[in-house]
Amino acid sequence: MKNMPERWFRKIVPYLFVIPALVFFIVFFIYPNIDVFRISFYEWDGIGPEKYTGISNFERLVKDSEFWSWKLWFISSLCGLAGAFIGVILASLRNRKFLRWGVFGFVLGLLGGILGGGIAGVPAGALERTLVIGIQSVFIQLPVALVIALILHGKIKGARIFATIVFLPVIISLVALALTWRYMIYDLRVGALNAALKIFGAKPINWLADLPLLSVVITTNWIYIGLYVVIFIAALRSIPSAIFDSAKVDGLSSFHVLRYIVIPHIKKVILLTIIMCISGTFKAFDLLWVMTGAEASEVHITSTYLVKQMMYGYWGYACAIAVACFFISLAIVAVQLKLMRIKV
Amino acid sequence: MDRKVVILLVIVVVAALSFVFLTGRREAKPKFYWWTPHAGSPTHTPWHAEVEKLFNQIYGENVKLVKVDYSTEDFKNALETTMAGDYPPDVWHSWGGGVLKDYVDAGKVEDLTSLLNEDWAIRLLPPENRSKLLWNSTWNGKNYGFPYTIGVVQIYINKSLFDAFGVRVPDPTRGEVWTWEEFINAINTFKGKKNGAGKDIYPLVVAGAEEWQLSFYYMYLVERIGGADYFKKALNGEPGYSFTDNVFIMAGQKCLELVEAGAFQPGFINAGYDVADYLFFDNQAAMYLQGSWMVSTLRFRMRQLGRDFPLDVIYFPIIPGGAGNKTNLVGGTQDYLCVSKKSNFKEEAFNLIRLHGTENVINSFLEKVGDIIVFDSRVGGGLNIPESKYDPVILKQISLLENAGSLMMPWDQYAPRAFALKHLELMNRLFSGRMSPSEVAAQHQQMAEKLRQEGKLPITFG
Repeated sequence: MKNMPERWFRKIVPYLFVIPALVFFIVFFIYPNIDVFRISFYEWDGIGPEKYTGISNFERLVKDSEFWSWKLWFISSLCGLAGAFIGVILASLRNRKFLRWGVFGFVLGLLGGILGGGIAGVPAGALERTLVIGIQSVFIQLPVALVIALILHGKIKGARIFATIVFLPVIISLVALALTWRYMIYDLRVGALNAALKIFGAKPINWLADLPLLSVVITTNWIYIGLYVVIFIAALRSIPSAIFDSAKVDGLSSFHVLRYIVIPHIKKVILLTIIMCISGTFKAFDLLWVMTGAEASEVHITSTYLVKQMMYGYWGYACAIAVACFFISLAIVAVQLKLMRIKV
Repeated sequence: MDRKVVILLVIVVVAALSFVFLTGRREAKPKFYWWTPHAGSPTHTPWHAEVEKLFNQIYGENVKLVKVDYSTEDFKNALETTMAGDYPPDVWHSWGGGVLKDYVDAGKVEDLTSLLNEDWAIRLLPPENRSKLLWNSTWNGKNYGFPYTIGVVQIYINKSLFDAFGVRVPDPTRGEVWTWEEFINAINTFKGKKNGAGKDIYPLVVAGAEEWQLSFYYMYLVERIGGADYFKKALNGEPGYSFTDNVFIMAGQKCLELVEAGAFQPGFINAGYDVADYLFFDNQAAMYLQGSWMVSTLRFRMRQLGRDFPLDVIYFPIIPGGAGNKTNLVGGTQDYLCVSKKSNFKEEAFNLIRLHGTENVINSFLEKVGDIIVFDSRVGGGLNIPESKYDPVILKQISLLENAGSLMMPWDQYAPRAFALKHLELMNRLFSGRMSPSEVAAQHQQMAEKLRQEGKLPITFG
C-alpha cells in the first residue's frame, strides 16, 4: 500500500512524456487525414460553405481521363493476364507455386503494359505517369545505386569522397535543383544538354516542353541514386566479411556473390528502397511543379494533378484524388510485401 | 533517486515553458500581417519596406506590422490556401475582379466603403470617378479594396533596333497603328537579324511559362476582332455570344500565325519572366507585349548597368474589318489593398491603408516604383501629379489611357478563378500547338457553362 503512489507515478510518467508528441501527431497528422476522407464526400471551393454530394467526387474520378486512362489499363490488364498465364506455365514446368508465379507474372505484365502502351502513344493519365516514374525508379535507380554501392564497398581510393559527391543532391533543396536543371541543363538556348547536342550537329530540343516526363525522370534519378547508394553501402557493411572471404576461397564469380550472398542478405533493405521509390513517387511534387510550371502543364502526376484541382477550387475532388492515391499506394505496398514474403 | 530525477526534469521543463510563454507574451507586441505579391521586384520591395518601417514608427507602439513578400504565383496559391483554412493575412494585395469577388461572396473581405468615404480618400479618389476606377472591387455599392495603380498592357519596343533595320515606329500619340499585316512584315524584318553585339534578335519575346503573357495576345486579338465587350458577353452567356464563335477561333489562329512565323524567341513556351525581361533589356528583342509595371524594372536595371534604354510604346495592331478599336487597351485598376473580415487588427489595417494615402508615401511610390498611380487626375484620380514624376514612356501611356476607348481587364483577373486557371492552361496548349484554336474555344465554352451551372457566372460588378 505504501508503494502505491510511487508505482502509479512510474506508470503514468511515460505517458506524460508522450502526450505532447501525441497531441501534435493527432492535430497535424491524424485529424487532417481523417478530414481528407470527410471532405472527399463534399463539394467545396475552398472558401464557401461545404455541400454534401455523396460519392459524386469518386464518380467523377472514375470518368476523369486526365487522372487515369481506361484504354491504357485495358491494354495493361490484357498484358497482365498474359503475364499471369506465362507465370503459371513456367511454374508448372519448374514445379513452383502457381499462385505466386501467376501473381508475379500478372504484376509484371500489367506494369509492362502501362510502360509499353505509354511509349506506343496511348494517352496516359496522371496515375499512369506516376506509376511509370515509380517503376522506372525501381528498375533504374536501385540497380545503378546497387552497382555503385558494390564498387564503393570494395577497397577503392577516394570511395568516401565519391559517395559524398553522389549523395550531395539529396541534401540540396529540390526547388533549387529543379531551377538549376531547368535553366542550366534543359534550357533551349543556354542549356548544357543542347550545347552538347550542338557539338554533335544535332538540332536542339526543347526538353521541358517536348519531353517533360523524360526530363523530370532524368533529374529525379540523378538526385535519388545518391540516397540509395548510401543506404546500400550501409547494408553491405552489415554483411560479415568472412562470408565474402569464404566465397572468394570457393571461387564464386561476382554474379554468384551478388545472387547468393549480397541480395539475400540485403533483401529487407531492397524491399525498403522499393517502397521508398514507389511511395516517393506518389509524394513527388516539387520537381515537376517547378521544372514544367505544372499549374498550366498538361503533364501531371497524381500529386500535381491534385494540387491543380485545389487551385481550380475543387477541393472536394482533390481530396477524393488523395483518398484514391492512399488506397492505390496501400495496394502497391501490400503486393510488394506479399511478393517479397516479408511480414512487417 | 529516479523519482527525484523525474520530478526535477518535470520542474525544469515546466519552468522553461512558462518562461518562454509568459515572458514572450509580455514582451512581444502582437503582430499583424501584410502580404504582397512583389517578392524580387527591385522597385516594389524597397518601397514596401519603407512603408512597413514608417507604419511601425507611427503606429507601432502596441502592434507590429509584418510584411511578407511572395512571388506572384506563390502569392495567389498561398492566399487561396489560407482563405480555405480561414486564416488569411490581415491585409493583402488584390487585382480585384472575379477572384476578389469569390472571397467577398464567401464573407472573407472587410467592407471598406466607410474608410473610402473619409476626406483623405475622397480627395484621392473623387466619388464621381469611382464607378470608372473602382468597378472591379465594388459589389452592391460596397467597396472592398483600396486601389493604388492602373496597369496598362502594350507593345514596348526597342527604338534602336527599329531604327537600325529601318522599321518605322507607328506613333500612337498621332493615332498611328499597324495593321496585322504590317505587324507580320515588321516581324519578318527583324527575324534572323543580329544586334550590335552580334547576338540574335527576336522580333517578340514572351515569357510563356507565365501564361498570362501569352493571354495578352489572345485577349487583344479577341478585342480587335470582336470588340471590347465580346469576351464579357461570351463569359456571361449573353444570347448570341459564345466562346465557340468565329471571333475566338480567329484570335487563336492569329496567335498560331505568330508562332509559325517564328516571331517569338526559341523555347518561349517555358521561358520565365526573367528570361523574357533579360532578352528585351539586353537588346535581343525588338518588341515585348507587357504591362506598364515592366518600365520601372527596366529603368532600375539600366541604372544598375549605367546605360540608357531606347524604350517606346505602340498600340497593339488592328485587324482590318474587325469590330475593335485601336485605342482600346488591356489593363485596369489594380494593386488593391484588402482587409480580412476576420482580422483582429482592423483599425491597424485601416491605418496602414490611410498611410498609403499620405503625400509622403505616394511621393515615395512615384520615386521608387513609378507605375501609373490611380490617384493621378489624368486617369480619374484627385491629385495633380507633375509630369516630372513619371518616366517619359509612362507619361505617354497615361496620355493614351486618357484617350482610350475602353480598358479591358485581363481575363484571368476579371473571371472567377476556375475560369482564369483554365484560360491560362488553354493558352499554354494553344501556343505550344498542342490544341487547335477551335478546341481551345470549345474548352473555354465548356468551362463557362460549367461555372454557370455552379452559379459562379454570370459575374456582376458595381
